[in-house]
Amino acid sequence: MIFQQPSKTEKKEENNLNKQTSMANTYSWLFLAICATLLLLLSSSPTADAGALGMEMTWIPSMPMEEEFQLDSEISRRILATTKYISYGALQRNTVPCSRRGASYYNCQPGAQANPYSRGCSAITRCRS
Amino acid sequence: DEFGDRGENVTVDPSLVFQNDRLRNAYIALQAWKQAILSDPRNQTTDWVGSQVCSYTGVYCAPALDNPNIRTVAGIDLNHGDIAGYLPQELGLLVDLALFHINSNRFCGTVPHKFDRLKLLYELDLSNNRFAGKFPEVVLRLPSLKFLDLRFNEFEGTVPRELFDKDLDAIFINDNRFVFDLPDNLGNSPVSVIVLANNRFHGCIPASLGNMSNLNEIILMNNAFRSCLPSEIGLLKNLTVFDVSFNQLLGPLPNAVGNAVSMEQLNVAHNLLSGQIPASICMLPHLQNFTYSFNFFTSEPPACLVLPAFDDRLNCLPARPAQRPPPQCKSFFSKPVDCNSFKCKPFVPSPTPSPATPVTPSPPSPSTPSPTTPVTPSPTTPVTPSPPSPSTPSPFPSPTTPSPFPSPTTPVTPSPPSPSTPSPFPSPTTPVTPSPPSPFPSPTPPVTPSPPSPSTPSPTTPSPFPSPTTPVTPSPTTPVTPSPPSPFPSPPSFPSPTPPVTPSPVPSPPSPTTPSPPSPTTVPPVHSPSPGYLPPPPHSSPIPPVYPPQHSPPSHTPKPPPSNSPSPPSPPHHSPAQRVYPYLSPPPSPAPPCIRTSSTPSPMSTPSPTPYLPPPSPSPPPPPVYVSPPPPPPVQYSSPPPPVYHSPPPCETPPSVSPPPPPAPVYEGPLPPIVGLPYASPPPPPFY
Repeated sequence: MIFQQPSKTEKKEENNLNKQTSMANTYSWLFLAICATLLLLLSSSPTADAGALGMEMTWIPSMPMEEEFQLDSEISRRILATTKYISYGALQRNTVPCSRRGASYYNCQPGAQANPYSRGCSAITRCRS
Repeated sequence: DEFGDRGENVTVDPSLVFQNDRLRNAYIALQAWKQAILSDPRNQTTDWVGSQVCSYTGVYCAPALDNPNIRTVAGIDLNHGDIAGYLPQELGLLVDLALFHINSNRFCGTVPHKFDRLKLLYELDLSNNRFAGKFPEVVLRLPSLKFLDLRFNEFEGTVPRELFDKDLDAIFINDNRFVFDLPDNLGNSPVSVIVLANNRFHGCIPASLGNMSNLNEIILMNNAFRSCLPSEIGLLKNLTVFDVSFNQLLGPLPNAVGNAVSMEQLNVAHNLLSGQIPASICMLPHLQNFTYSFNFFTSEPPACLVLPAFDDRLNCLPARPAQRPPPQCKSFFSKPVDCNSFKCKPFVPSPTPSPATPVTPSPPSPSTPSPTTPVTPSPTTPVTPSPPSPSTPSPFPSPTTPSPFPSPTTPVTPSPPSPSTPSPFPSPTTPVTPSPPSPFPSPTPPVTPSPPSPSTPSPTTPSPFPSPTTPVTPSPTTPVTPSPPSPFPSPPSFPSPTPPVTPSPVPSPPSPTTPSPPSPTTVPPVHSPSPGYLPPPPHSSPIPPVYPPQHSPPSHTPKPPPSNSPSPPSPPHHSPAQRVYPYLSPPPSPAPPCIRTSSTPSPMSTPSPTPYLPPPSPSPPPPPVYVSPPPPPPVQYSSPPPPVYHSPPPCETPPSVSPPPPPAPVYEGPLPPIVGLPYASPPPPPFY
């Protein structure tokens, strides 16, 4: 709607300009370029928004045999930062609450593998990295 | 062994030296497991050799809890291992195990009974494997278990009610083949999250759900629940996710849901709900996504239209886009819904308040109110003797029994939690605490019928003074059973009636005596103070929906036993119900038969197909008895489709070591339905 009105206005203005000089054509091209840019920006924002929302999951995707603790820690922390609902994450088959092998699901911290008996929280829905 | 579990013969090399006996036992367990593994495409168990078991891949040691000087195996984590095989009973030797994670492997069979020796097991993650058979009851005998994950397997049958009496924090049993009704003691579970999605549960959503005060997230999506929604959902103050989409729920969306103040994701889409959307729900402070599409709602408050995300398509809302055609709505409304017809068990508050009840009567008995207390039971007992004669002697010992009763009441309190049926126990516990209510519960059922109701006013007529006492006594006695629990649920729902604790029993009498409300309604206002009667009117409005189900309990009581006995025929009955709602039904596949113990070592050396044919274990035989017919094609496909991922491939695949497919899919299944903002792209301006 917002763009339709300027479109109509542009049309009328273009007609007037066509009757007068060729400089009007240059102006309309600039206007079109600006509109195209704005459209591209607007069309990209919902995609990014959907992507951000899609990242909301508690369970970690498959990370087989990631021995590099640094990378593991970084990826794990990044994924956990976007975690929200553990229940919806459970609807995917190959996800687990913590990607650190050997660590308790209730203590997903670096070095937790050294002692599976230690836990940092009592409710899995409130466990954060 | 006698349970049909399989084991391996492990010979310990005499030359091996272990730090302690526990590591020696761990060696035996792990070697047995290694022999039971048929396929290990990533060679994770290659280093399972020698006495250094703490260096094995996936094995995690720590100082033992009972002896810090002893190093022992504390965790097994083979998540995403893609290993095929079965769990030998020797795993029961890992007595210090706290976590057992084997998500995304191809283990089949069942959980060995020897698992009950794992007294410290805290986390059991068997998800995304090929286990089959009945619910593994050995998990009910794990005293330290908090995290139970059985999702994405082939378990079938019923979920034992004992599961909801365990002190668990998380229950994930979605994407299996569980059927039948949910046990009515669901509300006893103290879990913070429970996911039952993508099974074939049907029947009622237990009203005891209202007792799950620790619950944060619950997903019952894509089952065959067919009942009205219990209004007790509003009692869950910590609930953030409530998803009952893709079921056959009927009736209204309770206004009480608006009391679930922490709600963030509410999804009731794809049901048969009708009526109006309560404004209280759309005004929840933290509600982010409210999906109620594909129902028959007829009214929608403006507050719903300004939520961050909502979906109201395919309803019967006037002046809204993408609604159902009028004839479809008209046809649906031609058959009114009677929530009582489902005969769901009424809400019974948790037994936690019942131990508080015995504490309350003990102080009043020694004080001045003690003469009032005997006065109350004395008129109660005369009413009681009219229906049952054995209750006659109880009025005489009643003044003596109050003092000894509190002492037996205290030990009675712990006994309710021990029995597996706390739902019926809390009601007898409450009457057991006060002697008068104990005989009254038996007359309570007869009082409920119309014949006993005229008998109640007859004792009222004799004398004016005892008459107000008598009607007050029986009416409070009946609510005495619910009145102690009623203040607990009523405070969260109505903060204003919370302060008048005394009037809380007064309002409860008129609501239970709905058939005879005129007479008790008249007498209580005259006898009781007007401010005490003021709270009853607002309180009575929510109470009626709770008490009408009380009529169903007497009829429902005899039904549970017949429903249990015809449980085998109920699957065929369920199949037509499944046909009625064919959409999203999981494809039925036969349970994969597991390889026999004796043949296990031979496939390691020479995996030939011949030994696999004869070796069907006794556990697989029961699963083939359960064969559900193929469901018809789905009628409609919606925007939030919850894809059901089952692994039909039998355990015959594990023997084929050559094709080990790694679990590549990272993002599967549905995420919470989020409706983004609609962007209407304007038409491109004309070019000249």
